[in-house]
Amino acid sequence: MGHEYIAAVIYKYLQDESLSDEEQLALDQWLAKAKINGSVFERLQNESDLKAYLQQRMDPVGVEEAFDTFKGAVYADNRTTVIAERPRVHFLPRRNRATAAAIIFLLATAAYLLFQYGNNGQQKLANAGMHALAAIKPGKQGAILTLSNGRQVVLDSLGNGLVATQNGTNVVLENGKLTYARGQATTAEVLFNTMTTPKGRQFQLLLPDGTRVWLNAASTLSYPTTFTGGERRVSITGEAYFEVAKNAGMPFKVTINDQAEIEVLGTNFNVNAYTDENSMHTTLLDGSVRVTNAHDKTVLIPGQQASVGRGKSSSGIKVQAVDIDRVMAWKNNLFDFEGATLAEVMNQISRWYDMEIIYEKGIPSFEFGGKIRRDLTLDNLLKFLEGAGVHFRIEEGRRLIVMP
Amino acid sequence: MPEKIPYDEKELLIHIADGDTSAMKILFEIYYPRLSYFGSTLIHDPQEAQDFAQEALVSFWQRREDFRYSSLQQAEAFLFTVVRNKCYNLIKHEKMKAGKGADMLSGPAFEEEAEARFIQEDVFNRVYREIQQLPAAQAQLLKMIFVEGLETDEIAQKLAITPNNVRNQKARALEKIRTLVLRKRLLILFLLVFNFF
Repeated sequence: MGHEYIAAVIYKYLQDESLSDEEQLALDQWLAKAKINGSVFERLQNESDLKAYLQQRMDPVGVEEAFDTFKGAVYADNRTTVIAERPRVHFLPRRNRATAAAIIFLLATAAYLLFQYGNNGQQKLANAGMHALAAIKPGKQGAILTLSNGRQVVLDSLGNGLVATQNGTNVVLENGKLTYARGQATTAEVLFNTMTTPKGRQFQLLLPDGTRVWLNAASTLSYPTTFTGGERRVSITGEAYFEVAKNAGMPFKVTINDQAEIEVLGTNFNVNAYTDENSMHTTLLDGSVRVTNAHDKTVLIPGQQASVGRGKSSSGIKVQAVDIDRVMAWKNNLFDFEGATLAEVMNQISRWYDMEIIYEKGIPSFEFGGKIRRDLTLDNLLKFLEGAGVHFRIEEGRRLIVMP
Repeated sequence: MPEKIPYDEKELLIHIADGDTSAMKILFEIYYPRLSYFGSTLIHDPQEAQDFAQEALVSFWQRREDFRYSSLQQAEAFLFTVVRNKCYNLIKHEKMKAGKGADMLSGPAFEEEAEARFIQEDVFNRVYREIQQLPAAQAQLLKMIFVEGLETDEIAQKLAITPNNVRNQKARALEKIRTLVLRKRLLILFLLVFNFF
């Protein structure tokens, strides 16, 4: 007897319709077949079980977020059109371009390692007096919007709805994302807004031209509320991922830390330009961009990264092929520590958990591998790193001490 | 069971095979919550279950060409099987680590549970579709109860703003809703609303 037939019979029963002899027999046989069937049958008549199901089913926000993650995971496939390839589990992700399957495999590995090191790590953490760490939560959605008149709006304490209207453009917050809806301009004046994410916050926005921007923690994006004239210009510090809306007549330009510029025609790319890192990186996922600084310029093809040294000593632009999944990990709610140094790992932790990092005796030399979710509490993440041999201590005022 | 979707179901899978992400989104919106729920009834870890649902859909997308000329039921069977197998592997792994033999969970017990949970999700999905087919205002009522978790009197107060409308909704919703638990809840709600006037 098919599952669907039984489901249909039970549904009929729940509707208080009389069952045919044949249906009644099928139901009775099914109920007698396994103990679990009886308890499932009871659950099906239970309002709170139904309620839990419907809540999950009618949660458009959760599904929307999940779909964003999905798009991130399949992105590589879209670009390279891996059509009928069977997903395989990659035990050596370093050699292969990590597929979505491999990412999840690694997550499972990380979870396993976490569990395995759990007891051991817990002991160490307890010895170091670090149980208070459990309270330190990972970053979340949120940002500060500075309007053209200087007014600041904290976006994580606001509900959905209209945030401001500036020169005919409505600024609307919906489900953790800010949207600019162009209206009739009342003056020709161009107004600038600035979106700032503090440490421990990230945010998403839709610019008036349809360009989507994901802003990582500790980053700033400035942009006009309406694009006019011959180009669309924004400026960035920190890290952001852009999906630029196509408009050949109006090139999109990104100024990075006032030191370099990206010119775009309609494309997806990531900019990493934290002022506490030595160089600024532009990584192209799709389309074409031109990166320019005072000394040099270059055109990227998808999969390439342009690196520009910062400050006066900066000279040429270095171009290399990179692992897109690794660059985009932050947007997919992951840390990708593959091949990262301890300093790189700790900088990311500092920005996401809002911690000050102090090295007690210089920076120990470690090289990491693997991916881990960004939504773990700090203590769980540190257990993972302890497993790799790094030792920590926490002090008042969100100070994380790296011990030799 | 196929849902009410803006495409003919065959057409939907062809669009997906062509790499159309908006078609994939329609499928995703139906199956992500269904698979997550199904997984969570088997492993009792909603987060993990969501990851499995996500992974099953990624895996479906990678094989989308294989499903070009399939029925939606075949695609559905594939998705549920992927989640079921992932749950099985997880349980096996956890039991092995807890030092229990792999034999304790394998075979009939898991098989039976997976089948029962599959049926559980299927029946709830039918109830969900029953609500979806209601006119918007009535579906909204049930959404207030079940999704927003509003208490009956809170809803009564909200609805009390338009008493005539409420009276009409009562009769119509009760005509269309057949599932007993929903009927019971609606009856209590309307009894309460009528006490307000």
